[in-house]
Amino acid sequence: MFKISKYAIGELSVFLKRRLYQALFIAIIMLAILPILGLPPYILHVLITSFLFAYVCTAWSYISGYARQVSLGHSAFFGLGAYSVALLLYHFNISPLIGLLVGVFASMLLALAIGIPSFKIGLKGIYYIFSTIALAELLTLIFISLRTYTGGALGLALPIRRNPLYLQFESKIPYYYITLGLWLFSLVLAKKIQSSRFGYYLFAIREDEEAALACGINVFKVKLKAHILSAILTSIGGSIYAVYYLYVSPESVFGVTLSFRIATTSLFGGATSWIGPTIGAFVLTPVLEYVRITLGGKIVGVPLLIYGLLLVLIARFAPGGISEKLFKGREKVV
Amino acid sequence: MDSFIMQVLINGILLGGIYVTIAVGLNVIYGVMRIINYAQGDFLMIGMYIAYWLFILLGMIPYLAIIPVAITLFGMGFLLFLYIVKPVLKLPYESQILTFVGIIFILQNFALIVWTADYRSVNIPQMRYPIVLGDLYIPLGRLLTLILSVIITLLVYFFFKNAKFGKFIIAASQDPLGAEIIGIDTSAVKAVATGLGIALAGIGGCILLPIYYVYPYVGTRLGILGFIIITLGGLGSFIGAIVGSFIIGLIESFVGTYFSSELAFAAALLLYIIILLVKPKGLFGER
Repeated sequence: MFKISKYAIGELSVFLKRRLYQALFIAIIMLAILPILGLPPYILHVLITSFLFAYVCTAWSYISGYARQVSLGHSAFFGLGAYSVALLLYHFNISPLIGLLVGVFASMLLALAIGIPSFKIGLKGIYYIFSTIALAELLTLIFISLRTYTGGALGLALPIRRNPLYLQFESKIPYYYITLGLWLFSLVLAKKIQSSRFGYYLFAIREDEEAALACGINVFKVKLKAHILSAILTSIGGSIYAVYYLYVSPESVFGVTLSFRIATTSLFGGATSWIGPTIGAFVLTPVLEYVRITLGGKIVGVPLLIYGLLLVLIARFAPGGISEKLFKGREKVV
Repeated sequence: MDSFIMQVLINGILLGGIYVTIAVGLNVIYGVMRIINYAQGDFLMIGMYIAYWLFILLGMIPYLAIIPVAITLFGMGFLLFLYIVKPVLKLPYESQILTFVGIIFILQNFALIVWTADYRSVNIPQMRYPIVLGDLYIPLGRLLTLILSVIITLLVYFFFKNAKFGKFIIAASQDPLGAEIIGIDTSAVKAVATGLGIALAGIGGCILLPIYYVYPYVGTRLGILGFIIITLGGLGSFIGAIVGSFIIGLIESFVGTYFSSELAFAAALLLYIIILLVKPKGLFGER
C-alpha cells in the first residue's frame, strides 16, 4: 500500500513537473465551463468555498509565506471586510459594492496601524504570531460588545435584496464566477510577485532579514507593502463571504478558528509556493464538506477532527506542505 | 486604602492565580524545547472534562481530582511528545503550527463529540461560601484556587531548583549536546517536560472547574491568555509567568469593575499589544 502510494506520488510529481501549466490551464478552462453544463448546487457550493479559501490563503501567503512574517490573525481583515458589508447594508441599505471598498479602506488602515510599529521594531516569529492572535481576538470582542449595531455574538442576518447592484443573485453561478475570478487573480498575482524584484526581496527577507537589510533592501517598506496587499485581498474575501452567506457573526468571521484555518490551509499546501495555498484549499475544503455531508448533522465535530488529523500528518510527513513534496527540485519555477 | 479598591485588587489577584498554572506550564515546555504549545488551553479543557467526569461518576471533588488528572495528562503529554512533537522539533515553527493547530482541532472536536457543546459545571455550594475579612469578601472556591495554584507553582519551582531531574531538564535546555555527553537522555527529559507542562494545564483545569464552567471551546480564550502572559513576562521566564499572570488578572479586575466586564479581556489584549510594541521581549525576557 505504502509502496503503491509512493509510486503514485512519484508519477504524479513527474507529470506535474513537466505539465503543470498545461494541466492547470485545462483545469481552469474546465472549471470555467462546468457551471454552464449544469452542476448540482451542492457541488457549486463546495467549489465556491474552495475558490474563496484558495484566494484568501494565497493572499495570506504573500506576507506570511514569502516573507515568513507568519500571521495567525488574518481573520481580523477578513472580518473587517465582512462586517463593513453587513453593517452598511443592514443599517443604511448601502450596496455591498461600497461596503467592500469601505472594508478595503478599513483593512488598509488596520494593516498600517499594526504593521508600522511591529515591522519598525522587527517583531518576528512567536512574538508577531501572538500579537496577530491578540489583534483578531480583540476585534472579535469589540464586535461582540457593540451589540446594538452588530447583533452581538449572534451576528447579523443580511437583508435580502436580490439585486445584482447589491451583489445578490438568484443562483449560485454568479458567485461561482466571482470567486473563481478572485482566485485566479490572486494566483496570477502570486506568480507575478514571485518573479518580480519585490518577490525576491520578500524571499530574501524570509531567508535572512539582517542580510537582506545589509544588501540595501528596505525591509520595513517591503514587508509593509506585502502586508497591506495581503490585508486588502483578505478583506475583499470577507466581503464576498458576507454577501454569499448573507450572515456574519464575530466568531465566524473574526474568530481564531478562521485564522487557524487560513494559516494551516496555506501551510498544508505549501506557503512559499505560488500554487501551494490553492492545493491546500482544494484538498482540505472538499474533504471538510464531504465529511460534513456524509455524516450529516449526526456527529458535529467529525469534519474538523479529520482536518486536525490531516494537519498533524502533513506536519509529520511533508512539513513544507504538499507542493514541496510534489515539486521537489523545481523550486525555481514553483 | 479604600476597601473597595482593596476588593478589586484581591479579585485581580484571585484571577491571576488561575492563570499562573497555565502560564507556568507553557513556559516549562517553551523553556526546554523552544516551542510553544498552542494547544495548552485545550489540554486544560480536557483536564476540566476529566475532573467533571470524576465528579459526576465518583463524586470526587475537583481539588482531589488533581492527582488522577495530572497523571493522565502527564501520560498524554509524554506520548504526545514521543509520537507527534518529537518529529517536528527540529522543523521551522510554521510546521509546528500545523502540528499544534491540528492538535487543537482534534481535542476541541473530540470534546464536542464526547461531551457535546453544552456548558457544564459542577455544583458545590460550599465553594461559593464567602470568607469575610473586615469589608473584604472572598469566595471560598476562588481562595482555594489561588492557594492551590501557588502551592503547585512553588512545587514546580523547587522541582527545577533542587530535584535532580529538574536539573536534568535545565541542563538539556541550556546545552543539549553537553547534556547528552554527560549521559542525560535529552529525549526522555523533553518528554517528561512536555508531560509536566501539559499536566500543569490539567491541574489548572481542576482548580478552575469549581468556579467556572466547561465547554469544548473554553480553552481558546484561556490559551490566548496564556500566550499573552508568557510573552508579557518574557518567554521562558518563570518569574515572568507569575508576574504576568497577576498583571493580567489585575487589569481584568479593574477594567471589569470600572468599565464593563465584557471589555476586561479586550483591555488586557489591547494593553498586551501596546506593551509588546514598546518592549518586544517582555518584562523579564532574555536579551
